[in-house]
Amino acid sequence: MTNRRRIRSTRSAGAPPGNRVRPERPRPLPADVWPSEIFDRSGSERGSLRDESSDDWFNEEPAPDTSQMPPAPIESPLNGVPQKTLHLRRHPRVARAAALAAVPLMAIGLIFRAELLKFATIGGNGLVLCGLLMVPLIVAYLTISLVRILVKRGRKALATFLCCFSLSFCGWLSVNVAAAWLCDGEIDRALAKLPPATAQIYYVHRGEKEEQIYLPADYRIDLAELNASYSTYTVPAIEDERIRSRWEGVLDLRSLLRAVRDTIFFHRKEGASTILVQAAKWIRIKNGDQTFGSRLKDKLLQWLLALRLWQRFPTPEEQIALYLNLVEVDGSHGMAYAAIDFFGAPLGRLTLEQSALLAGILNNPTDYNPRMHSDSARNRRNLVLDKMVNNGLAQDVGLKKAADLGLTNAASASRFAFFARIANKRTAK
Amino acid sequence: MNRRNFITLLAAASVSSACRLPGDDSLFKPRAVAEQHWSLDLQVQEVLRDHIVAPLRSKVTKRYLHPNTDAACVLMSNETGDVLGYLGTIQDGSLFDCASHARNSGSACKPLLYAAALDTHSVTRDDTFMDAKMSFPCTECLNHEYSPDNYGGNYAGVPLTLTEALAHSSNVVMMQVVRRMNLSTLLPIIAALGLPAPTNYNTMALGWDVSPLALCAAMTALPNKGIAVRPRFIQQQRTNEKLEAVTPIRSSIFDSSVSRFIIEAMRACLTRGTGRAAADLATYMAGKTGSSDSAWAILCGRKVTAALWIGRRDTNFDIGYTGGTLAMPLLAEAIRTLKKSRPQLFPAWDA
Repeated sequence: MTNRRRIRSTRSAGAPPGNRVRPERPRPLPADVWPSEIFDRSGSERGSLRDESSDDWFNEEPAPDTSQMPPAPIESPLNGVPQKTLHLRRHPRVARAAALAAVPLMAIGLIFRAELLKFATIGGNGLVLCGLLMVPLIVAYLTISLVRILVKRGRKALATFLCCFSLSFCGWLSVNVAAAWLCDGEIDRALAKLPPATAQIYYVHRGEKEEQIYLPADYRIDLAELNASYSTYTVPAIEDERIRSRWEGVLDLRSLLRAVRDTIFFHRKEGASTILVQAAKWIRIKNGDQTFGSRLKDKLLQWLLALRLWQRFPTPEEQIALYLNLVEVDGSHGMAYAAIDFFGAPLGRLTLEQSALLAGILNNPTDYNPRMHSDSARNRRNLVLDKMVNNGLAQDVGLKKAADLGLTNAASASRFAFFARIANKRTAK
Repeated sequence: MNRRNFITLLAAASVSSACRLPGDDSLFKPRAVAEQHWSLDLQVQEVLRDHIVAPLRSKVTKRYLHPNTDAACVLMSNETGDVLGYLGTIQDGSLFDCASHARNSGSACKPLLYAAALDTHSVTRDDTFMDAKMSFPCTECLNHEYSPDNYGGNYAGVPLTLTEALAHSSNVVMMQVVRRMNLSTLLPIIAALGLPAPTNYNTMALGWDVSPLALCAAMTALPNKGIAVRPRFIQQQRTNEKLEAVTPIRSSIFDSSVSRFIIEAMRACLTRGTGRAAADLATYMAGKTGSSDSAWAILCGRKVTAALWIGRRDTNFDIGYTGGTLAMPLLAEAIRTLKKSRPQLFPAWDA
């Protein structure tokens, strides 16, 4: 420490006043100077603290009082050698070139990440996944070595740049591999349990004419039907306003910050789940453990699952369709069932207020069930309509808010037809 | 390179690299659509709802009937077996299908037994049978004899023709006719009609367990010149982009003259027998009532056949009403209403 202090004071004292060069940080002595001097008994030319050749080896003078003495210049091999430093401010071309080289490299790495993940999920064996998990480690190691070299050579800005991007890339890659590893099985199992993709259309007679009827049957909502219905706007209006406009993908940072603020300062319980996170909740039914730790664990796993879902279903329409097929209303999968059960018509034929009612129910299908709690269901529907007005998706909803819920009562024709269907199955055997 | 461009590039890279699995593209493609054209007629369903379900569930009726009393009704076309109306239950929110559950038919199956006897020449049309208290040998019964009563214990006391016996639903005459028949010829006929086999030969003449749907399908043989059809629920269905018609299953059971004779007897049942509640329908319908623990009514026309069952589905308790007093008036009222809106379904016998 004494030496270092001396160096700093010497240099700062000897610096010319008009020099705009930033005073350089003291460099440590070369590694072979200080320890080898202790044990160097050869009496070399380099200034050793103890000269072995002298006779008064035992009669050493006491150490001089350094506080009284003026600082003496130490003899160092670095003295007099011109310091070669690379300042990025002095060499903007180098910095620009490095940055321009790093960005496409990172982009290529990100794209290559997708190929890796695809390979991993299709191949799916543990060896490939272990290899994938090694990739971020290797990249991190290489980055750290490179950064050390760069720091030694004084390229600190470039080193910081590389460090940040490489480490974030490694983190992102690890998260993705973990998501693929942990969640793909669950997602595939849930997708296999979706309602059947084939819809059945039933025609019956009324007198001489033929007429189509709707049974409360399960079928999968496809993109065409979703796009033709109001649900493509009513469901995001109440569940996930910014699904089409945010760049975060899985999470909604604004809602998250709002929920955190409300929870901490106003003691209100608010959700900030996007549609993808809610789909993840339906896929991964959480255990009843309500401790903070398990809830946090659940939430993190839901986010991982949602990340994976986001990669597999990138467009908002697909995400909404997935969510609508995953929800359970009255113990049956899918919004298609709910539409036919409550209104006797498929999703594409519902009016705006009916669609708004269904969208409002999804938050809590039991407590907002319009057959049991019609008042809360009506309030919920009106809330959805208000949200749509706020988002500019609807206007003049006053009459719609006053309208009746419009539920069918047990669909008499459908019910008889239901019996006929059962009887038909029985006779077909 | 400014910051905004950089973020854009990064976002583009991450979005384009979003990994899609091969199966995910097909998850939300427009779905394949299967199509079924049912024979069910909503107009008939509404008539059944208004004239069978509503009266049985009315407050007045509930004072006389147990609240668990249920009903099943099937109305089918004779030509093709199309099921035009199908009532499984009258209870709200129930998914129990009474129309395909077998219950004791009482004397509602007697026309089929008489037709089988005539068709196998066990009896002739001119035969008369004594309607009086009598016993029949029976190995499993007490005192080795079985002596069924007529309903209410009333006997004519004189020999009856088959027409009169069927019209007044005489158990004793039916027992004698069944005793004349050979079981090995009768059972194949019952099987060909689509009815379940009776389990007890001694009491078979007084009815066995059949479902309203099966009985209605078997009854189509009588107005249909001896040709029975199986119930058909689906007329056409689309499979592999092609609309295919489902062919009706028809089987000839009785001779046409036999079926004509039985139809005349069933018309007599409506005009002067147990089904007098539907006497005004005799110009275009023929009918038979049945009473066991539950009440039955059957009406056959040239084009349609209807069967109604009213009873308790949870127990075998007697509901306390006969087919002639409870079931036949309801079914007749439904047919009357249906004839107003759909007269082409009910051509007269003489036409």
